[in-house]
Amino acid sequence: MPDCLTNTNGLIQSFTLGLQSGALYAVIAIGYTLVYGVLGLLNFAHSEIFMTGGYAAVFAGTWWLGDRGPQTGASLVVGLLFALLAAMVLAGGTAVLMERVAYRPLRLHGAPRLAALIAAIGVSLLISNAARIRYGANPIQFPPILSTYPVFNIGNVVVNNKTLLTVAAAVVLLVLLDFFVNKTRTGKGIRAVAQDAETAGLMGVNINRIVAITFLVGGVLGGAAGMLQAMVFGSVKFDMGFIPGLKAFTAAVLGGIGNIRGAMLGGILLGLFENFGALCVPSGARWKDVLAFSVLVLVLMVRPTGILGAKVAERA
Amino acid sequence: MTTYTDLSRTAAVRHRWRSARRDLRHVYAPLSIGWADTKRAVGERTSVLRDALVTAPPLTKLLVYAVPIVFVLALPQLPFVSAFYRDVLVVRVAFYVLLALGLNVVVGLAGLLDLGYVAFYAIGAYTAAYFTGAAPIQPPFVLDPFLTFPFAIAVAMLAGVLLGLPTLRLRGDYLAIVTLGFHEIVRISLKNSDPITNGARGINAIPHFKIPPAQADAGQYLLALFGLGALVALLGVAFLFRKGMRSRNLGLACIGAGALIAAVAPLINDGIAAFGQRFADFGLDPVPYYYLAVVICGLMIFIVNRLSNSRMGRAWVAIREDETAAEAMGVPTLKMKVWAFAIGASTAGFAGVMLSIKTSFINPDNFLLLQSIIVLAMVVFGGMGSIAGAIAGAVFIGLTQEALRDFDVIPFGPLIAAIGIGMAVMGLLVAFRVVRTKAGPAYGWWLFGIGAVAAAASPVLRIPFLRIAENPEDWRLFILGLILVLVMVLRPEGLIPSRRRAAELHGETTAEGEKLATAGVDEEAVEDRQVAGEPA
Repeated sequence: MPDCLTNTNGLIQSFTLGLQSGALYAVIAIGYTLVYGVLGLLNFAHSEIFMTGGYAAVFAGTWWLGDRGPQTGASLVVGLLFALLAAMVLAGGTAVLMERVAYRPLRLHGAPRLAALIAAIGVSLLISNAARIRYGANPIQFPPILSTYPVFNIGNVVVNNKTLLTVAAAVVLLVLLDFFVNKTRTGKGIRAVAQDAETAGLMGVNINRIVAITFLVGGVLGGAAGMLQAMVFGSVKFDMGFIPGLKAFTAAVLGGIGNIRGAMLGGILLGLFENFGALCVPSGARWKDVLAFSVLVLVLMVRPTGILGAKVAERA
Repeated sequence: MTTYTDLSRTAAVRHRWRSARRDLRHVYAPLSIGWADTKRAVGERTSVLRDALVTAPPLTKLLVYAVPIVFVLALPQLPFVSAFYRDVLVVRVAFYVLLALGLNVVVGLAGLLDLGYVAFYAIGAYTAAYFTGAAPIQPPFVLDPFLTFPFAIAVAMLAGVLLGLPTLRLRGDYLAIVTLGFHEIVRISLKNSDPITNGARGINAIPHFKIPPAQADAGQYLLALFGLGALVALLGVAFLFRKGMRSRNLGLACIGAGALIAAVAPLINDGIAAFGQRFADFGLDPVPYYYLAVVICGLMIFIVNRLSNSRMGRAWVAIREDETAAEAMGVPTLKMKVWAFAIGASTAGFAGVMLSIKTSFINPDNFLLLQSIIVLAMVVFGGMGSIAGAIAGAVFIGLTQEALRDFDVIPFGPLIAAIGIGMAVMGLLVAFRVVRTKAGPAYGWWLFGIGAVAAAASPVLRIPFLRIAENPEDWRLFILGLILVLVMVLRPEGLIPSRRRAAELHGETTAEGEKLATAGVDEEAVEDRQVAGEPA
């Protein structure tokens, strides 16, 4: 039996870390899977929406509290919520703007998917480098709204408040989203367009509006994930979205792209897998990303429709 | 008196002869003047410029093709090209032209979005470094840098096939992300495998190309050249003893040519000797690499051009336009896609060897994802599927990326002022109907307004742009992103589009193109029927 599986502390540590990053991947993956479901577009720039959320949270938090940190419990809660709200609003706005400026013109004159995908790459490059030009290439510190402290121990492993908060926030967001998509009228519209855009249009669904809302919802979730990431890691950087974005996409594919619950499952699984994997490979932290992308390649080779299967499987 | 049947047989023979000639054109086209003829032969509409070129007198044709070739060959020797830009021409332009040509096959012709293209560049470069013995682990046999080419290309090609076979069954956007993942796997593996690749520190002291020095002294070619001259002249004398004007002329011409060869023999001899000395060791000097790269690019242009008009090329285009339909028509799609991948990968491997040997130092940071995106931007900007476009895109983006570094040197304000004034003047000309455009005089006032504002604002505009000098890298990528989005939204077919591609991207068939394609056949049919005495 390999050492890594007998090391209880290591396993628990990997489990908590995996749950934390997995929850974030799941929230970001929703953005990919929603847009893919509705438009069949791989929104490359989603990672930059995530980044925008992180920056918004940093600036909102700093503006609200200065750099002294909160003085009372109430100001702490309000400060966190304010940062979260700022992240969601700005990221959602960016996503909608992106759709309006770059993707809609392409969609309306019936450009092939390749063109939209290349435009998405361009948008991604544009936004991340605009942030770099404006705010520099060095990381910017997240304001000290919440200090890290241990909440409880499992064995010798400390679980801190930020991990708990991240997982809790992710779960709340995912439940809300699931409710939105499955129970509301707009959610039904999204599902209808994902199933068959043309027919949905004939049935009176305003496709342009649904697409914009899809981008908004994905963007809001991406922004929230950006805020959580900024809070956990303590800083933001112009390229912070790249790797999480790629992994979230992997998660979406793992769960079956276009399938919302699949994206959630895929996110958690990927987070857990890469952290357990890192434990089992010598100097594993350096090989973490390779592990995650190998999963991507393997999944696509063996079961391209993902674990739960795609709702929009064959769209040529 | 000829009978009805006789005539109809003549017509059939004529028809058969015509179609045979049309088929032949596929073969001789590349030997004569290249793509214009080929495209006409396959019934594709070519541009007015190209059409004009086909019918131009031979001397004009020669000039049109000779001028750019001479320019390309003379470029590194021109006085205004500084030593720095000679290097740029090789590392940032010529290598990228090669990469763009390869990616153009994958993305432009076969329509497979490969975002991990630079991984093959890296594989080529590291393989070359390994076989020259510069890597920390020694190869079974150390090779001369020139001999690493086949190995590196084969390894890159193999990697392309290995990646392609399982993943090319996937649909387009999955492929993009898988290739991206593959790229990250390759890059991180190179970075983390210290005992094999030296990790992040990279491999250095990779030997340069060497041409073994000439064995004998400088006079060795002189005798041979004199001999050749004498032989040609003797042949001429022999011709003089035959009867007839043509023989006499030929004989005189041969004697003249022989004398000329003998006369310039010392010059040629010195040239060869100087060439040998100059390129005995390529070293870090960019000039020999430039010429080598030009030769390789020329080879690739020829190959890609031939391929794109071949059975395989047509299969690629069919796959790009509708894979399901292509499959249904019996195109072996997977095989053709793997071929496109392999050809693209081997081109990247080619470029990788050049990079490795030229810079003599490589590390994983030479092969960031960004490089893939830059190459993609080149292909897209120039026009997907078009060879000229890929080259133009690579040259333009490669040079602008470097030029952006110099923005503190280039007086940007005056430049904008000049462009603004130019626009304003043009606008006035249009507004007062001196120059007529489709858009009408109102358009002229707009042009005038924008130009005037730009000219007036140029002193202000200069200040924010000066910041480019502080962080040129950021601006370069920002502008690249802007190019990708704008090209996709405004002109998805790119700068120099291939006709077929443009038609596809605009979601319509070019009526004229089809007319031209069918016109030839109709005309012939009508003619044949007339000859046969039938009513048209």
